Amino acid sequence: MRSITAVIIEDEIETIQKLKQFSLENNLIIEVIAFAVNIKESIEVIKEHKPELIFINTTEENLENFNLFLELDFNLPKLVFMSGEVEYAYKAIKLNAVDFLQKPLNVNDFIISIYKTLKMIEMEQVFQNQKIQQINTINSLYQSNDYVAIASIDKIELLKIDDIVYCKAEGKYTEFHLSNGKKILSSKNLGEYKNILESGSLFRIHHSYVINIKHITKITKKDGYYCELINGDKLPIAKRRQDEFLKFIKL
Amino acid sequence: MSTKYKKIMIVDDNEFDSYITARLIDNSNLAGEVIEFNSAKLALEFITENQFNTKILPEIILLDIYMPLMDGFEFIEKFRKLSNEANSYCKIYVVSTTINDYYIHKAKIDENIRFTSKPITTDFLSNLD
Repeated sequence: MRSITAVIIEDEIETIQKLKQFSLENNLIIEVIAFAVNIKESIEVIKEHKPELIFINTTEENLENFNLFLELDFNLPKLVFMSGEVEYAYKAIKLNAVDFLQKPLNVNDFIISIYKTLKMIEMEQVFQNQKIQQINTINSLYQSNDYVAIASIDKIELLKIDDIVYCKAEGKYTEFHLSNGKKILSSKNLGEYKNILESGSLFRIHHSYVINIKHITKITKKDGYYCELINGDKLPIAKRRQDEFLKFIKL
Repeated sequence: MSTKYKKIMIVDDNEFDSYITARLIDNSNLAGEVIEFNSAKLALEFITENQFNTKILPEIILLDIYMPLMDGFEFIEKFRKLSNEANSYCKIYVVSTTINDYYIHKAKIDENIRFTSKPITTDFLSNLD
């Protein structure tokens, strides 16, 4: 279990005492780093400790100085506003409060506000991690698959995957048919391109053919499936790959 | 001091959530004893062992849905097969963070189950019957 670090901004003695008591009773989930009487006084300690949560007394003065929070050059801590007047809850929501505690404070409301804060932080973290992972996945897909290096007897050519219409196995060699009509013969067999050719828009329709589905113009269904490609070539889809192929092109 | 319930059971694999619920119950003086289980399996074992003994069984079971190995619904299904004593003595309240409509529906159509979202509130606790 982890505890949330907090700064408390409050100038009423009674409330301060209550918050001290509440946080002491619940020190497994909350660690109060410092108390300050108003936003101005709190800024230094907030900058120094970067708490996760700030409990803040909703006074006119604090609302006026709220921009001091917005000027912080790090992720703004979560905010729980406190006031005896519920009307302030509206302002609190507008300022993105996680919760609003009505005075006189109640220990269960206090605990629930900590719960909400922790869940919010966890959700943001999970969401951000997921986003980063998505981006990395997309980047790695593009990076590794943009080009394929084709070694022939006397040179290495770099082909853009998008330019490949299809590859044909020619015994020990592989023939690359490109969208500009050119053919390139590689000295490796089709199987050796497995890793590159099994991702993105490329699909092996037959033991002799890998096609780029971006260049399909037509799929015919007479005596088995055939793909027609932009260069006019018509290639058979092996029976045992048909189901997988149909699934693949739907994506 | 006499409390509304003798015993409340919390079944939740999340330590923090379980702690929060236990604290709220304590602060509301709702139960003489709160027993926490971080796995539905262990909770079910406890109830199975004591299924004929209402002195040991909890009156209220606060049950999470998403738990590894055995989830809340599987717990309910197995619990229903236990003694009549247990089934009439223990009331189940599903307390969950789920946003899955199917789960919410499933929990709400069963008239023997109550459903509430986390965090559990003081209002919810004081309205338990």
